[in-house]
Amino acid sequence: MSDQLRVRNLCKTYIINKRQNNVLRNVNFEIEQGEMVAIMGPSGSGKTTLLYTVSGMDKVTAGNIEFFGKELSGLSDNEVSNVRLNEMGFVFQQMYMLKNLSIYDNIILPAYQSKEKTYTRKEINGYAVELMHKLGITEVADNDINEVSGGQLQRACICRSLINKPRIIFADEPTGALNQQSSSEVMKILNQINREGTSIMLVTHDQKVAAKCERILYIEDGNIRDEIRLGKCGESSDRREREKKLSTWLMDLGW
Amino acid sequence: MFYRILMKDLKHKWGINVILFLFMTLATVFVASSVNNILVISNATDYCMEKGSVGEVYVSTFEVEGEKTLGEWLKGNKLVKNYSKNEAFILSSSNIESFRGRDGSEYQINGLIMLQNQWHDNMLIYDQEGKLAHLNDGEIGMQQKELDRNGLKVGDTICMKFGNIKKEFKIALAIMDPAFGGDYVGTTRYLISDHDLQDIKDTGMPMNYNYNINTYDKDAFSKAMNKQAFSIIISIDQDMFAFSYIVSMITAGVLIIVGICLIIIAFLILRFTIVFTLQEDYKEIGIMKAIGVRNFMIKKIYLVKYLVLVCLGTIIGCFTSVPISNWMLKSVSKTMMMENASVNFGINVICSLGVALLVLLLCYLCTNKLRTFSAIEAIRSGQTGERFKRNSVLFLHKRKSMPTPLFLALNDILSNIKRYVVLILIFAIGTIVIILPLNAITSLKSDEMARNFALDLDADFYLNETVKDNDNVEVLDRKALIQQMDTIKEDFKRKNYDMDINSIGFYSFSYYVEDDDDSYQFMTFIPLNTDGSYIELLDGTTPVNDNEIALSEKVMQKMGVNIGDTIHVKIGDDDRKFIITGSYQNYMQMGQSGFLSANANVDGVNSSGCWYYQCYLNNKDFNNTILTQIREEFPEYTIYDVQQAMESQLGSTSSQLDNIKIMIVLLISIINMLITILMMKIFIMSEKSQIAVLRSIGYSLAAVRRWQILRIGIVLAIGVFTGAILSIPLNDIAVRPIFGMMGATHMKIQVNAIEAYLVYPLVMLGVILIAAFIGSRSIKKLNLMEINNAE
Repeated sequence: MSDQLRVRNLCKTYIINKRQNNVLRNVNFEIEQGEMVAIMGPSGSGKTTLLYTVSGMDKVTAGNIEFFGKELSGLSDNEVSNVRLNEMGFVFQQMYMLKNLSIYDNIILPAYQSKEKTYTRKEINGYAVELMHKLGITEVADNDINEVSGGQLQRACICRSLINKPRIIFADEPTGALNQQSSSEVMKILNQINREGTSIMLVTHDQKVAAKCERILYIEDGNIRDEIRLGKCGESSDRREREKKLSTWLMDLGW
Repeated sequence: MFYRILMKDLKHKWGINVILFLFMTLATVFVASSVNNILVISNATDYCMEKGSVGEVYVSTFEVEGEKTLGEWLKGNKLVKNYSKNEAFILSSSNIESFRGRDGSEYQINGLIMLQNQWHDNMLIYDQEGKLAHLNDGEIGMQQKELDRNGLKVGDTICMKFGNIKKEFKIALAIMDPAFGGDYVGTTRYLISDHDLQDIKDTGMPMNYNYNINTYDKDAFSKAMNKQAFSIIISIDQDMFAFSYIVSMITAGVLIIVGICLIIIAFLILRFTIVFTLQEDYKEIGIMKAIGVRNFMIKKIYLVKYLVLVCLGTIIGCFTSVPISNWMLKSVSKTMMMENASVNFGINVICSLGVALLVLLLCYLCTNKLRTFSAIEAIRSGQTGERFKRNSVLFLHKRKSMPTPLFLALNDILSNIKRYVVLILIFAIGTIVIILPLNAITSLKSDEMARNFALDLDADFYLNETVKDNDNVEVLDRKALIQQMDTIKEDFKRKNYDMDINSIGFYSFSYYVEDDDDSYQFMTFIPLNTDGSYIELLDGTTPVNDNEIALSEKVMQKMGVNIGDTIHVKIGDDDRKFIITGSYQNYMQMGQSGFLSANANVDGVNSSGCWYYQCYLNNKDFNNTILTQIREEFPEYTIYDVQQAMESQLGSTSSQLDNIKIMIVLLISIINMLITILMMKIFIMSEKSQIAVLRSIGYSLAAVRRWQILRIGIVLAIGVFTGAILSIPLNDIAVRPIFGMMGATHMKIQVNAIEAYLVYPLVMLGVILIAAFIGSRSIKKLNLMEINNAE
């Protein structure tokens, strides 16, 4: 499989109160097409910064991020936005949506804005309905965002991230604000999306969530310390065995 | 803890707090400067009259030997409280030998010029600094408008001759004349030293005598005086002096309207900002409630925070309002003596305190809403506490082609219409403030206005020439006036300009209905070389016969007569009866005049001058080239086109009116720009998370900015449209009375639709969109990582 995302010598430094804070230091990794990768690590290790930097939401201080052969740091702001709109999807811990729009409208918003995809609005609407049906939120489509539960809202966010048929989804603690049941449902959906060919890079603290990923990167002090490959998580795979393997690995790393 | 919460709030929400502070400062500046201006302007004429020691009645007379003089009549008159008598010399262009190296014949004179010394205890004249004017021998002072008329400046010299003596005067200062400073008065005064005036008097030149009279009963005094047959040149009462500042007062009126609008805008902004920021804090308020902080304690935090901000804002605003107030008054105080805005600093302080109290009251009332919401609702919604209130109004998936930024903009407005109504009102008021003065100015420059100045629009040009006889102006009868017109006609014929010429003679007659103790002195017009049919009537017909008269509507009202009634007019020694055939309106003598027929027998009766000589070329097609040519060929005459003739009466030029227009547009544009930028900042700050969502899902910076700009653009467009619609009825309510005061109560307000409803609204739209564009730049600075910090 070819590399979809290749990160080389990535550095990110913040200057806070005239003090230099090196959040990421020479990070190197790749994500292959169709791969599902989790980023784990202690608080403040740079997980979220890494996610935002490789997705072009934040600028790098040094290093290269190659997305399907395109150097993201070399693109203009508009070009990066375009890549995010058409080739990337985002799911956040807090279910950020536009408060004056219904669930349905929030989902189709990126697709209506996309100029690269040549779908008609009718086709987009059809696809949105299909996604909502798949994720089980059809009945709340016309509701406002403050009229649905957290789990429904997160599923709506996933629908929105999928509406432009992205190549990769970046998820920042997608289950962080959900209860166990909702969390499990969301992960099921993400696994299914991944099985259908969309790559996923997610940040999580939750071992159960990470155990459902194909590969886990452990980040510490702004650098990738180790990684473990658990393999594709099929519907029939042994959940407990994956969790145990991950747990042992994490314990070895001092988690 | 209380202090810590406050300091944290000020620090953490510095952006919102800075905006709040700016709006408070802005509101203080608007309110304090506007109230100050309104007070200064509304007291301006009183101030002017008081400063100039102007009496209730001012009468200028020629005292003919052997006739009873006004001075003798005033002595011991029971109606007279006190009076002063002073001398002056009436200057004509033939007295001017040369000025600034140019021949005296080119000297432009508009109306009557009185050359006089400082009268020391009445009708005082000041310098530009507001100090009593003092001139040394060989120096002269005149008003700035007189200097401008002849291209003179302080330091220039002007040579005059009086009988057998010549005098050279150096222009020492531009004087401020509280009595004769108004644009609407036909007399101006040149000031020289006591000694120089005595020199002129010694030549035996005829002087005129000026009485400044205070009475016990002004009306009774006027009626008693009108019964006498004094040789009066002019008689002006204090109200008339005050009214002569009408053009300044129109400008002042415009400033008052602007001021009132600014006050409304200030309070709307304040309300908007306070409600908005409190809504933004709803979640935090909920948390405080959840951890057991009592309602009053929460209120106290906000009240103290607002107290700190409002104290800073109002102190700065209070001091800033003084120079702004002075700047706004500058355009009015060029001719009119006014108090300096800083004199009324106490008003600024009171206004600032008022703003501070209002802010705290608004804050208190807004925080009252806290009681109605539970802590849990505030925490869960994180927005306005209205958790179960539907937000979305429009549906994107039902729009077939609407671009998403436009949809978002429209949906935002419709989802929170209450919030945007305030903005719409602000922009609507801004539009009204531009359109109303614009219409007033268009009306001032219109043909309608010219007609109300008794000008015949069919005339090719208008000529203003003082009738000369030797060195001083004579009071002439109709025959002499017609002779003068014949002389002009001959002058033009010699240079191959064959033309007809007509004018209106001015007479001052006493009118009464039945009881001659109830007499009124009114200016009376008599058409010369014309039947006067070009003068538009409101009702009835133009007087044709010797015993017919038309009266202005104001005179008819004052005397309680109607068309068909009979009135008495004292013409010379005759008491004659006239039938009223028609009514009219115009600006002559503030709309108080009579109009006799061209056939009225007034032979031998002295007139007090005549209106413009209206000229109609017979052997040439008139155009601007011909006008320029005529001006070059006849430098001895002052020649006007209709616009200039009117401006000369109004005392203001098109460029001055245009300057007022530009000043208003500039002022409103700056205010709107400022408001827009601040509003944009407030929106962006409160919508950080929404913007971050859009940016993270791939909306380009341009698309997000389009959303923000379109939203303010739509609000503005609705505001401008509302303002334009509202200005139509307001024309009659606010603008027409100004013209009514000048004499034409039925003046049709002229509207230049393209300018008022297209060009300036587009200018506003442009200015605000530029401001919105500038304001939206802060989106670029927004870090997408904020998405995690935002609510």
